[in-house]
Amino acid sequence: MSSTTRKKGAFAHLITQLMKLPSIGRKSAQRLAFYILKMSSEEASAIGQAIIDIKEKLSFCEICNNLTEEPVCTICTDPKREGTKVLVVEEASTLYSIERTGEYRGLYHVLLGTLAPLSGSEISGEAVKKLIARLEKGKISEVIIATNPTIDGESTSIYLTRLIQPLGVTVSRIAFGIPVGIDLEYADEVTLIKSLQGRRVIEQT
Amino acid sequence: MNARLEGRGSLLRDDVMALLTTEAIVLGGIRLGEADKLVTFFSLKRGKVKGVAAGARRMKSRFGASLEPFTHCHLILFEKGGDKLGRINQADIIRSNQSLREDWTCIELASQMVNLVTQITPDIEPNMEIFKLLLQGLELLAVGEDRRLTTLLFINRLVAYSGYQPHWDHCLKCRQAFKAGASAAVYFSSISGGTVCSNCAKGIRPLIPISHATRAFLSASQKMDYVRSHRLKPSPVMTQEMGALFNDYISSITGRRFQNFALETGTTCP
Ligand SMILES: [Zn+2]
Ligand SMILES: [Zn+2]
Repeated sequence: MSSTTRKKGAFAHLITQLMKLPSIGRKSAQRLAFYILKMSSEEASAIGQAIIDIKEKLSFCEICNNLTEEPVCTICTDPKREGTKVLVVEEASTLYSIERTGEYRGLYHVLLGTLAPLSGSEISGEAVKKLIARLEKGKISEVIIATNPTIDGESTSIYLTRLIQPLGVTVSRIAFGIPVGIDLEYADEVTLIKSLQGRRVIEQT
Repeated sequence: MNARLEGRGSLLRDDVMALLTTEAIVLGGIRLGEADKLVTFFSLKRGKVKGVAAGARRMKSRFGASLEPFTHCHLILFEKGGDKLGRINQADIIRSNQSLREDWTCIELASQMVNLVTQITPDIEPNMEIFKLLLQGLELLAVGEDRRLTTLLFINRLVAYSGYQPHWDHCLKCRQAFKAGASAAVYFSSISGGTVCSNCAKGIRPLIPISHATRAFLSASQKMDYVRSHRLKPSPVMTQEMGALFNDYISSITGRRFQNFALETGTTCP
């Protein structure tokens, strides 16, 4: 095999591999592959190594399914977090969004998916079992369900509520409503109704 | 230069691009890319169509809740022709059917309705009857008189409107009409799409036995208006028979296993 055909084979191989990533089509993969080709060897190796590292070093937290380099994540081991509250999210990416706000000081539970009645797929029984086991220990008094406001997220919320309430734990759902900064007249009917249902009394000053 | 222009001309002829403005019902959607959604609709003018809603999962998306399943909306879709996915320009809610997404039984039954339409209808083939049926079916589920009956009657009509109307009134072999109140068993053949009498049943396999009452119910309910047919109340045994029949029939039509939630006594939710 000549060096050009080997190069060509490697190039096609990289494109095929890149196309396995979400939202990367052939064109984007080609563009990325050309970009990588122009990089220095060190830069390209760093990308490759980073990919190897997350597969070798990162795993799901034994308690909450957050991504972690240790068996248990830094949130679960942090003694300053409120151990009575657990916020349930679909994916770890939501956890990071909430963490960035710095407003929430409780614990988390990552479901790694949702119930999907439309496609018939089911939630990971493992993640739900883990959550119930945590609740049965008795320390947690409130579960806040922060699944997406979609049919899958809502089904998951209904499902979890029915499982959790008999354990005597308070279940709350995050509020749905008007995004900050928009004109109310542009809000759709469902969002408006949801925000009315979730209204709150303004405390007297 | 000239060659390129010519190329473009032929491209335009092959790929008919058009703006579709129609009423539509959201059948479902999947996440696409970083923040987009690929949504399937059953539209009044074009039947089942798909389109991409750019940025639909983002905060402040102009689509809001309009692309959630079961929503009846005004859809403006930019169709690109061929195999290319269209782009959703606008979707305005006519009826949100939000209550169907907040109750377990409703989620289950409404999902079953839209899933059946998704599986049984071909792409881009308008069908006014199916559009109306789905609209009515979802509305009846939301009102909730007898949701399981609503779904069962929906399935019976859907197979008929999709071109799979079974013969309920006569044996498909000997053509003899079934008599009301007859006691001899009747059999349903999914492969032949109809009922056969006990004389003709020999040699035909597989068959699903049903009672005359069930056969008569299926026949009568189809001849009535959908809403009115709710007055017919099938017995639990009949409901069970219809469940088995449709599970088998729809599985054989769509080529995938069909599980009839509508007829289960319990739900899958604890
Ligand atoms: Zn953890
Ligand atoms: Zn016969």
